[in-house]
Amino acid sequence: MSQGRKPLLLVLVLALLLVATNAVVFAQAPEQTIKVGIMGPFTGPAASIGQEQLNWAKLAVADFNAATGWNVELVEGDTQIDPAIAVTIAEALISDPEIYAVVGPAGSQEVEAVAAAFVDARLAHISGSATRPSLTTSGFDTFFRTVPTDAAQGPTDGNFLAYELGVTKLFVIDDQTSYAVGLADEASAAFEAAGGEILGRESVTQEDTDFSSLATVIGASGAEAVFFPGQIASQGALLARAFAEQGIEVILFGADGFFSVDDFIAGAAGTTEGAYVSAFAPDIHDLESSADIVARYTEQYGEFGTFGPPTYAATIVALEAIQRAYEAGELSREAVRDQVAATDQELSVLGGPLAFDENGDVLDASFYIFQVQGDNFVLVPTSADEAEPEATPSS
Amino acid sequence: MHTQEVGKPMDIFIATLPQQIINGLTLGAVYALIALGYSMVYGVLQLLNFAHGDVYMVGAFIGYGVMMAFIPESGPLFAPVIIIILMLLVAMLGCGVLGIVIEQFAYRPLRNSPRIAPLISALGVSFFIQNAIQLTLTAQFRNYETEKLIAPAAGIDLGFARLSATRALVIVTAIVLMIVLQYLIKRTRLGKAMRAVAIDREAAAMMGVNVDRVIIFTFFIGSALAGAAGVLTGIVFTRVWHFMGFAAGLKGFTAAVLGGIGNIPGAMLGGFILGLAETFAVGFISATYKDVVAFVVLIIVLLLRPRGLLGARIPQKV
Amino acid sequence: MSQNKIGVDQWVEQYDQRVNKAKGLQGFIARTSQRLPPWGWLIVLVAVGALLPVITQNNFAIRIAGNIALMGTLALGLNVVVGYAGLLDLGFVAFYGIGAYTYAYLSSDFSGVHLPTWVSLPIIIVISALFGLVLGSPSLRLLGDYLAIVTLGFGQIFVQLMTSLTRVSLPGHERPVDLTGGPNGIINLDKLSLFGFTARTVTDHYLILLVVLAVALLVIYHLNRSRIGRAWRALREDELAAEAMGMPTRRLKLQAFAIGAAVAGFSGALFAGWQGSVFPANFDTTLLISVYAIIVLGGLGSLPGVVVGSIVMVAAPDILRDVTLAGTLFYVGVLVTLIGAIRPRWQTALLIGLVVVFGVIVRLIVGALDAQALAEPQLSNSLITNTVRSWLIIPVNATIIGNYAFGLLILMVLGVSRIKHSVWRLAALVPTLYVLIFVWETRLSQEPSVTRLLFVGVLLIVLMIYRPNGLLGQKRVEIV
Repeated sequence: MSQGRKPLLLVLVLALLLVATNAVVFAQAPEQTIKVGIMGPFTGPAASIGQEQLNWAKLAVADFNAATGWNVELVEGDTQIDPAIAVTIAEALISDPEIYAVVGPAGSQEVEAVAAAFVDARLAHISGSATRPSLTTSGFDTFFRTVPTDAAQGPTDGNFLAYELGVTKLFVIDDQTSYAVGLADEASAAFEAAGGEILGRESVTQEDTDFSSLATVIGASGAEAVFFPGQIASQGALLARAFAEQGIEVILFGADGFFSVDDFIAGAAGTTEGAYVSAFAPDIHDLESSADIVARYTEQYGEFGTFGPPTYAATIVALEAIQRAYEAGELSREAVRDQVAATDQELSVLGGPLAFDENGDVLDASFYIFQVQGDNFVLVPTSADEAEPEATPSS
Repeated sequence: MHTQEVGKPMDIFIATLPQQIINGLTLGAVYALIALGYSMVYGVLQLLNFAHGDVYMVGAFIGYGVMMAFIPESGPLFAPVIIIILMLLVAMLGCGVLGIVIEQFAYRPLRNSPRIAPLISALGVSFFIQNAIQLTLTAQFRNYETEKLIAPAAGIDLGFARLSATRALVIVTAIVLMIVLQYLIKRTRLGKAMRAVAIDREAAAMMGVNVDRVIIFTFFIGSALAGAAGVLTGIVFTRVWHFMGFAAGLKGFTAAVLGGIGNIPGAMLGGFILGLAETFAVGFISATYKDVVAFVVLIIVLLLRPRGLLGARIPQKV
Repeated sequence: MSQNKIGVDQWVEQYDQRVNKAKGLQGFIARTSQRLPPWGWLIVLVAVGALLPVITQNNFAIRIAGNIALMGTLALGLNVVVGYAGLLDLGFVAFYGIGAYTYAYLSSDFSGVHLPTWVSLPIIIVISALFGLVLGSPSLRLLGDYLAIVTLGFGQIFVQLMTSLTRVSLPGHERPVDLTGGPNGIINLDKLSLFGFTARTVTDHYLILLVVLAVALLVIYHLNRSRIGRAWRALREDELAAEAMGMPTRRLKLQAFAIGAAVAGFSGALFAGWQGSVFPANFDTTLLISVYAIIVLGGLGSLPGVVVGSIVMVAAPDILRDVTLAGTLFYVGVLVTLIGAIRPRWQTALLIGLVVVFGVIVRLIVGALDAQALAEPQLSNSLITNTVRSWLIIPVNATIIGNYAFGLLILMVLGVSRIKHSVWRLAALVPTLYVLIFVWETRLSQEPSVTRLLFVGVLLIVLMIYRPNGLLGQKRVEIV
């Protein structure tokens, strides 16, 4: 026993030395190391969304580095969709002085938990998916988002159902995320204001795969349409399959998350034909200006839905703000934040101009309503396109 | 059953009850198969195998792989029946082997440790499998292309409800597997040895039962059933993903306890009751409180029968 | 700890003797640790802990330390229920949530009530303890794992209710009332304020949590040594015997539940005050798993074990977040494992040499077959990584090959651990190590979030196999 002890100690000392020398080399690395953080659920139940965002951010950083010759690093912060973990990660990102901007967090509740810390650190963070209206009106001047809020999208959806589709009886489902609950609430309010009747409101979880009994309930309720603003496209397909299996005919109306050719159309085997999906982003598959990016993404990471491209846009916003701040001669977090606020892209990956209002919301948010026709989503022209989305958020 | 007239709650209840029973039996069949593995392992080792749900997930992915291999763009290579049987067999074999490996490496070294130690190493296994799958197969959802094997329209219209061919397949397969299992346990030597080990491991060992072999056998059968459950889930609910085992594992555990953990007919009964309870909760109470209702049912059952529905009142060992 | 020898078996006796005989630094540490009285340890803990904010201004490090103290306190509560009384309570995190939500109700605009923390804390403790009694009551009827599932259900129901009680129709209200804030939780909670001191910075919170942990350790330590503590242990070892000795087993169980719940509720309140908000997602099963891992890794029933367990379980996953550091730790970890596992030691050097040669040969072969298949190595800031990457082959389609190699690696590791003969094992280790390094560079280092959890999984399995009683657990005779 005892003769083995000294070498073991020696090894431990050696190991520590190794760690230390490695750290020294690390410190000698070029001074101009610039990093961008990203926060999202990269493992656990919401990993499918988080990984898509992560992949798009990786692509954005690679594109930016290739274009500028810079060597920006992307630092992953896996929140596992738990706000408490998000808080710890925010602290980790803040305490790394080489990080000048952060992409995310993904969920509204995570933003709520971390925003104050980012304000204190003057570190800009740009989410590509947190849509709760109150986030941008709570005085968090370091928070920005590249997607419009539920307060803007909800009424569009509710009005479309009531006026364009002439639905009078609606069934509403949410998936217990702050995103879905918020959007379902806003849309229900607009639908009721338009004279419609909400026959039922139920919550499912993102883990649910058996929608057959809920389909039976909806079929028996006499609803003409179902509004299900879920985040997970395959759940929309599962609900549609359950309707088809039981021969129930209702209009399925989803949002954002359901916009996925793979999961919502191919994965539904024809049962989602005719369903509607409203999206805060256009279908960038068909955008000529983004064709190149789409091709590179698909080659490296496969198919994607709507949660990824806004994250690409957010990452590019962050990187370009850093670049402008650097070129202006003052690379600091405060300067980067100011540059993010001053973002004025003529053409983002989302196919239009991208700029923020004084609260950090995207200017001139527009919505797109698609219908599933055959193997694709087809843009539905709506009268709401001209109507100014309501700017007054409710919380 | 097209969109019906809105009626009184009672009318809706009666009109939708048969369909909900079919829905519940399908879900229950899957739960029962998962619960069986839980219960069998518990029976011989008194171990809560928290990695069981992940074995089920691996089964679903194996089934998916086989399905994709035999259904290229051009169409199925064999008759659908053969493909489905292949999917089941390969997944059951794969999961059975996985179960044995898990037992050998994560549980066997801990067989004489405090009872909570294998619980934690089971959690470690669960973390590992889940993330290994995410690492290699990504976090994307995969969809079984069941419609290429069984036409969605196939089924029997009973008038008051519709029993689709997929659901019939799932329920029948599950029941066949349960009958085979009953035969294995009641009639074969290994099955008898298994029951002996479950009652008293040391006494069984003294009577010449090879306990290690029995435990390996138990893990193989239990995990194979979980693999079958994974494939059946894929066939009927189509969506598979790396995190699906977590919730399913908890459901299987609940069902096993409901029926009396360690009791094999109990696990089957528990699975079906849990499936029906959840479905009825969605159908007649609220989808939102589905899990709450299921657990309340469980708590009521346990308060009335502290050892589960079919749990035997074994006198406490001193 | 050496003063109380009752119930210590022969094995422990021998262990103590060995410790006393041990020479050198390790023996010195072992003896000092036995001689140092518990309060001495507590002083060391608080002193070292209080030094941290002096050493570093890094808020991340201080926050992790705060998380360790918070999780440690929470785990102390669970230690009472599981470690002392032996009740498998899987709904424990719900009490943490109840404490947090009660804090939110008592100090936010959501309810319009703003109590200072020192007033709300006693209320929270009482409420949590009452809930503990409610959940504890079925434990009077249920045994072992049946209790586990009922408590698990309780935990799930709590999270579900907090998520969905947003449209509740209450008498006297025209519109449905939002009771919990749903998935959006309750935000903008008041800061923790204790007797006029308001916690604002991370360091403030950390110091509060450190003191709380120390106080909790002190209280639980004395509780454990008291009459009730001895009774709990008797209950855990053999309920029937305890009952036969005239112990009020029902009351003891309820007391364990209530005290555990009170500690959890208390830590939940501090958590809510620190986060400044509460969400249902805070109280998920993942947290339950972490707390259990803490007490079991540390050693069930051991107080220093709880502290060590929470350091391991909280710090390790967070350290692994840093990609560069994780890479270094990986190589150092592999090296230390090899040196620790392989005897005689010169074989380790031989092994490493063989792996290097193996790598060069592989490189030559692949280069000769198809030079196009190799990608230019991506250099990083780490010396080790750069050295390895210039030696290893990195194929062009690294992701796919890396995935297959990962599967192969699992099989190889499982296989190697089954080889008994030392020479063959050494020979098999060469390609295994090569594949391990290959997988690390092609896949694992590219996916830090997933890798982190993979390692946590492996850590749990390996630690349990080598220390089934936990790091600081006392080995005791199990009753069959």
